[in-house]
Amino acid sequence: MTFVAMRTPLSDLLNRYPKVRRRMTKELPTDDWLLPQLNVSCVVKFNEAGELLKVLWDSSLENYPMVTSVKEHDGVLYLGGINNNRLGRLVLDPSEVGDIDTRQVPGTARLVPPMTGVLR
Amino acid sequence: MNRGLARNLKELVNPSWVRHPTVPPFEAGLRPNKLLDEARVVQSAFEADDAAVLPDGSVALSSGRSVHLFQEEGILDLLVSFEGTVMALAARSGEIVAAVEGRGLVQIDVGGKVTDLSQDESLRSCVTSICALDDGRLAVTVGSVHHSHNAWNHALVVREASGFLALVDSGTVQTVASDLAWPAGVCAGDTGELLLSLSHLHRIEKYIVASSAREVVLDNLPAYPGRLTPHPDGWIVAFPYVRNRLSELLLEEEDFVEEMVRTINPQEWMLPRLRNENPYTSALQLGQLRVLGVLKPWAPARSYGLVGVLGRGGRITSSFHSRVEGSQHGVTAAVSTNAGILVAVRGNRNLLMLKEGTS
Repeated sequence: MTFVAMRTPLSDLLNRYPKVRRRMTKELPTDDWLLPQLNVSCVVKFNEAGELLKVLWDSSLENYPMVTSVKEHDGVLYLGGINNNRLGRLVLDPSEVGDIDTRQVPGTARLVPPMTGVLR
Repeated sequence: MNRGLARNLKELVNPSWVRHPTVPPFEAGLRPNKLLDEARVVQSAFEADDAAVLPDGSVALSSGRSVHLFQEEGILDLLVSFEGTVMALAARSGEIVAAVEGRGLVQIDVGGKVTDLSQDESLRSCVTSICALDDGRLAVTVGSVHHSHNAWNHALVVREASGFLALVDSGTVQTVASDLAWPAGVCAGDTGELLLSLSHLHRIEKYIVASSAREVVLDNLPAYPGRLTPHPDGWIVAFPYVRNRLSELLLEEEDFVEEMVRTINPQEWMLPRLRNENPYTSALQLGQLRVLGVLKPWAPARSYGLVGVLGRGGRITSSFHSRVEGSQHGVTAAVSTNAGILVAVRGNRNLLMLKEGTS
């Protein structure tokens, strides 16, 4: 799962002041609006019990800001951002890759044969 | 009736009764460029606050509790250390005058010997700048009588105007102008007057000592002016902070500001700052969103690098910028030397040398 933005103390505080937000959106251009931190990207891996297994950050705030989608395919994790001009590609450690076909909707019959032997 | 409701009613009756404060754009002499980012870094990993040029061409720099001497690139000598923070520096006939927190004004010779000049209670905290005048007196600005020198943002949120300008003559302190909104810089003018930058009012004024009169030189600047130093074409103004439309709007919202001050770390307040300490917990303005890998340089800035040259005609004639996507933010002092303008970038913790004629 990806976190699109980080909560910050200031954006949380502004959420409790609807009149200030209204004034901000009425009187200021959209460039000046206060939002949570969208340039920080974070991807988390968790299990059905809700335990966090792994967290990926981009501390540069430059390489992959605002990651909006993440997809594991054939041992590789792809990171996409709606405003980005790039697609992240992270080769996973073999121990991280499970035996689930990630294109499959859980609980349904397998519709597409698994892609194996694809060149990376 | 609260202020917001009163303003809405006034605006409903007659829109011209209400003044919406605006932040002017960087234009004319303040037109943006990347000259601070392109300048040569002459000392890195050094957080200098104030600077003063000595007659031999070396530059005294204050950093934390110490005063250093900068000879040339790469040569930075520790001159003396104090118990308290060195708040401001000036050069007077080959010696250095420093304001030390908790102690007052001291004089330091080039060998590092320290002599007390004034231990007046009013000059022991929040001294923002010192200027040595031709007649041997010192002009000293004190930002606030209630806050410490690094509490610029605390004084801004409470809209305090308790700063003053004083003249110090052999230990005697004479306050010549008071109730000022964070005076951050003072420098001798051409004809016996003093130039005074009032940071919280975004204004540079002229103070005429003989008549105690004040005249506005530059008003409604797009940045908060700081220290002033002489320059062959006039004066150099260091702007540590630039104005932000959102922070100006939020400052009018008293309840919001009160809770922000009470509950949030001062580094995270929606106010201009010298640098961004922790991007993970720092809120973003939509213009600062990185799109297609690019942070647009004209995005609203909370930290910015800006040095301006104020001409004798009372206009900013040229300026040196580090814009939002740059890194040389938070300039607290800039002095004219033989080699160019030495800039103390406190936000990015380094020293830059700007070559003249590049603006």
